[in-house]
Amino acid sequence: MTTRRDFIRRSAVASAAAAAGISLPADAQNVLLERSANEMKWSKAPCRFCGTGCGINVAVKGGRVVATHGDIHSEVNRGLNCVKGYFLSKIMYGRDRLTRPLLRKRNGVYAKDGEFEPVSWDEAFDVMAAQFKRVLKEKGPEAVGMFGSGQWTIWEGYAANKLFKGGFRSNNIDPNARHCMASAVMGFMRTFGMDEPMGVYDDIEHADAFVLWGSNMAEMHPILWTRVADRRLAHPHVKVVVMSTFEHRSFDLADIPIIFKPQTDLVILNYIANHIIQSGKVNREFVERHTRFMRGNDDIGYGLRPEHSLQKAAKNAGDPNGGTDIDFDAFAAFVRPYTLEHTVRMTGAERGWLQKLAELYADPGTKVVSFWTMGFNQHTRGVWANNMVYNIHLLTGKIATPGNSPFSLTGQPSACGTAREVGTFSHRLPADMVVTNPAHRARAEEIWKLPAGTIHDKPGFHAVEQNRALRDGRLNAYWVQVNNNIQAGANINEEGLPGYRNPENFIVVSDAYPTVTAQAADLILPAAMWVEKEGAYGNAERRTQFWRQLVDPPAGARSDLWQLMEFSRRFTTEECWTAETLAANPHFRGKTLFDVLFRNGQVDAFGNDQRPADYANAESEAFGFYVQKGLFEEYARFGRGKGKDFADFDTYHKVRGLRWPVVDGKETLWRYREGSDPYVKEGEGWKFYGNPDGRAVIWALPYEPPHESPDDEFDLWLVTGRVLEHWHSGSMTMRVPELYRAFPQAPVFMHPDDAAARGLRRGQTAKLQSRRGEVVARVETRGRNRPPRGMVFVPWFDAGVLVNKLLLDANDPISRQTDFKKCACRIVRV
Amino acid sequence: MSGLLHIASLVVHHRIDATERLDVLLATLADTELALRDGGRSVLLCEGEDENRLLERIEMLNHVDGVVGVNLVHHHAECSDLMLEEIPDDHAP
Repeated sequence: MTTRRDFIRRSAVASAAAAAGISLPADAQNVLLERSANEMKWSKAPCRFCGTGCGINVAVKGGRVVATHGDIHSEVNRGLNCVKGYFLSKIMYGRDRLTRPLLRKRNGVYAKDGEFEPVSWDEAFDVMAAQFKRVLKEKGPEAVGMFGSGQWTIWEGYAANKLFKGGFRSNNIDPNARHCMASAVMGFMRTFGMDEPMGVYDDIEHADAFVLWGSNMAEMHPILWTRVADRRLAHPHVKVVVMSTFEHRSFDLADIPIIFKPQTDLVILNYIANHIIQSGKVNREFVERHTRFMRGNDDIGYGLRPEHSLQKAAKNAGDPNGGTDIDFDAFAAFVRPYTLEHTVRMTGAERGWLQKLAELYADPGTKVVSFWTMGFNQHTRGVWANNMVYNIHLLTGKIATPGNSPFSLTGQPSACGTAREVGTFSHRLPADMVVTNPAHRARAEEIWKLPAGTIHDKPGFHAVEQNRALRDGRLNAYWVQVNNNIQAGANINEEGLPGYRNPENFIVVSDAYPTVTAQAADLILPAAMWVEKEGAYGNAERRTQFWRQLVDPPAGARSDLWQLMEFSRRFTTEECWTAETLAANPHFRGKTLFDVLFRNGQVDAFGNDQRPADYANAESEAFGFYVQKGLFEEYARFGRGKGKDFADFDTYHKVRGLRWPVVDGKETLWRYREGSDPYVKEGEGWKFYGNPDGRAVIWALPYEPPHESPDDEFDLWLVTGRVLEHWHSGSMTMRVPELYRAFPQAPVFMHPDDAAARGLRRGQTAKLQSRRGEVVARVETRGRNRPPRGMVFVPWFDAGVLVNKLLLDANDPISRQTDFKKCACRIVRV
Repeated sequence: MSGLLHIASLVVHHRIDATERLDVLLATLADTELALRDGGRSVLLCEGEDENRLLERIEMLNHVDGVVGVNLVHHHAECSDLMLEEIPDDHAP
C-alpha cells in the first residue's frame, strides 16, 4: 500500500523526468500516470497564448477546467509548460467575465452617449443590424469594417472573411496580426513569393549557432528557449548570439551579447552581407541556381498621414514596394560601404562581437538559425529587415536544411493559422491570394459559390487606417473581435479613442472580459473562449492543431463563430449586393447572407451525426450541421495543390498537429528542398516555387533613419514590449491572481544613472511624456530588463499604464505594421 | 492558504557551473527538493499548502545566476486529508 500523496509525488517526478528527457531510476519507472483519468476527463488542446503552439492536456471535472499539464506527446513542448500555460485553467474564470450583451442606452433606447445596460442577444443584434444597414445604405460597403485577430480560431477568421469580403462586399477587415506579423508576411512574399517559414522547430536540435535579432525568447517564447538552452548546454560548440537595444533575460545564455542603437539593425544586416562577400564565403553555386537580385525603392516614408512632413518629403512614398532588377556585382557594390568601422560607428556595438557574429554566418561549416519577432516586425523598415536577414541565409545557402533556418517567430496562437493562412488582412484572400488579382478573386468566388464580381478589387483599410477612418468618419459601423486595440494600438489619444467615440460611428466589441476597448464601444458582446468552443490554431512552424469543446461557456456568452453566423441571418442579398448582381444572378434573390455563405451546400455538408457523442459543440447544435467541419473543408480547397495542403478535418482531431503542406497524409518539415518538400522535383535541389521562376530574391536595401529620435526636448528612447507572466494586453493573464501578483504593474525599466540624473530612485513614481501624451509609472532600475543609458523600456500589458498612447502611429509603408519600438520621450518627477 | 495540498514538479535548465548555486538555494527551501538531475537539467519537487509560494519559488530559481529556464510540468491540488488515504501500490517491488 501507499498513500495518494506519495503516488502523486512519484507521478510528478516521473512526468517531469519524461519532459526533461532524463532517465528514471528503475524503481520509479512504473508509475501509473493515468490513474487520475478516472476522476477527470483529459483532452488535448493547444495553448491559448503565444504562437509557439504548445500542446496542453486539459482536465475537466464537473463542467469546469480544473487542471492543465504540458502534453508529453506534443512535439512542440514535449511535456513542458511555461508559467502562462500552467495557469490556463484559470483564464476563463475571472470574476468580471462578461455574460450578457451590454448596450449604451438612454431613456430605454440606444444612445452613443448613454450608459451600458444589459440587453438580450436579440436586442443587441437588432440594434447592431440596424446600424450596419443604415451605413450600408447611406455610404456603401466601404464604410463598414471589422478588426479581428490572430487569436480567432481558423473557422472564426474564415467565417469573418467570408462575411465581410463575400457578404457585405467590404475589404475593410484586418487582424491585429497587422501589429505583429505584417512585416514578416511581406518579407516572405517579397523574397519567396509565399508566406511563412521554410523551417521547423526541429531546426533547434540541429543548429550550431542561434542568432536572436531583437527577440527575448527567454520571456516571450520560453518553451522554445528551453529547447535552445538544451542544445547549447549539451553541445559546447554551439554559440548563442543575443542582439537587442537593451539587455534582457535572454542575455543570460549569450555567448555573443550585442547591444545596438535602435534602427541600426539594418546596418548590421548589410555589414554581414558585405563580410560574406568580402571574405569570399558566398555559396556561388546556390546563389547562381536559386536566387536573383533586386534593388528596392528607398526613401519610402513612414506610413504617416499624407500631410505629415515626413511623408511629403519621401520620394517613394507612393511606391514603397517597388524595385528594379540588378545583378550580384551591383548588390556587392551596394553593401560595400557597410564596413566593420562604419557599423561600429553607427550601432555603438562592440567591434569584436560584430566580427564574431559575421563569421558565424559566413563559416560554411556552421549551421545557423536566426530568430526574430517584434524587434524586426514592429519597425518602420520591418519588411526590409526581414528581407535582409534572408539575404544573409541565401548568400550562404544556409536555408531549408536541418539547422539552417531564418525563422520568424509569432506572438499569437493563430497569427499564422488564421490571420495569414485564411487571409483576413484587408488585401488578402485565403492561401496567399490577394484581392487585387482578378484570377484570385475569381477563384475565391468560385469556391464560395458567389456571383462573379462580388469581391471588390481594392484593398480595404488596414489596422492603422481603420482608426484614422473612424476618426475621420469614413468608417462608421465597426466590429472588433478578440483583441484589445485601444490598449494595444499606437497613438490612441489622437486616432483610436476619438474614432470609437465619433458620434457618427457604431462600435461593437466582442470579448470575454471588459477590456478598455470594450469600454470604449457602444455594444459589448460576451464571447466564449478557448476550450469553450471547438477550435483550430496554426502555429509558427506551419502546424495546424485542433481541439474539441471541452466545457460550456458561461450562460449568455457565445463564440465569435456563432456571433458571425447568427448576425449574417439578419441581412438579405438585396440589402448588401447591387441590383445588377442580383439581376444577373436571380437565384440569389430573397436569400439571407447566412443562406448564401453558410447554407451553400458545402459549409452545411456534414451533419451532426459526424461529431463524437462525448463532446458538446454549441455552434453545430445551434445551426443543425457540423459547422466547423464544413467551414474547414471548404477553406482547405484554397490551398490544396498550391503548396498549402491540409489533411482532412477528422485527422487533425486525432493527431498533435501537422505541418503543411500535408501531401498524401505526410507533413512537410523543410520546405523548398528536394527530398523534404513534395513540391520540389528530383534534381532541382532547392526550388522557391512561390516565385514563378523558382528563385528567391536577394534585396539591396539601405539603412534609413527612424521616424523619431531623442532630441533636446525628449531625450530618451522609449521601447515597449512584454514580460513573461503576461500575454499581450493582459486581458486574460491579469485575471489570474497568481500572475497578477507576480507582475502587478507595468514599471518603467531604466538605467540607474539615468534615474539618478533626473533625481529619481527605484520605486518612485514618475511621469513618462512624449509628444502624444503622458503616463505615470513606477521606476525600476534593477531586475530582468536593463536598458542602456538613454533608453527606457515599458511593458504594455497594464491597462493602468496605457503606454502605447505615447507612440506615434508611424508604420512600415510596405506592411503597414506600426513601430512600437522607437519614439522619443522624457521622464520627470511627479 | 487554500486548505489544499499542492504537489508540483519543475524542470530547471541551468549551466553546469550554476549547479552549486542552485543547490545552495535549494538547501534553504524546506518545501522544494531535488528529485533528479542530469547535467544541466534538474527535476525539482515542490509541496505545500500555499499556491502562491510556487510562483515565488519559480521567481527565486529564475534569479539564480546561470539558470536559463524554469518550467512547470505536473501539478496536483487536493484536500490534505484525502492525500493521506491509502491506495494499492500497483507497482510495489
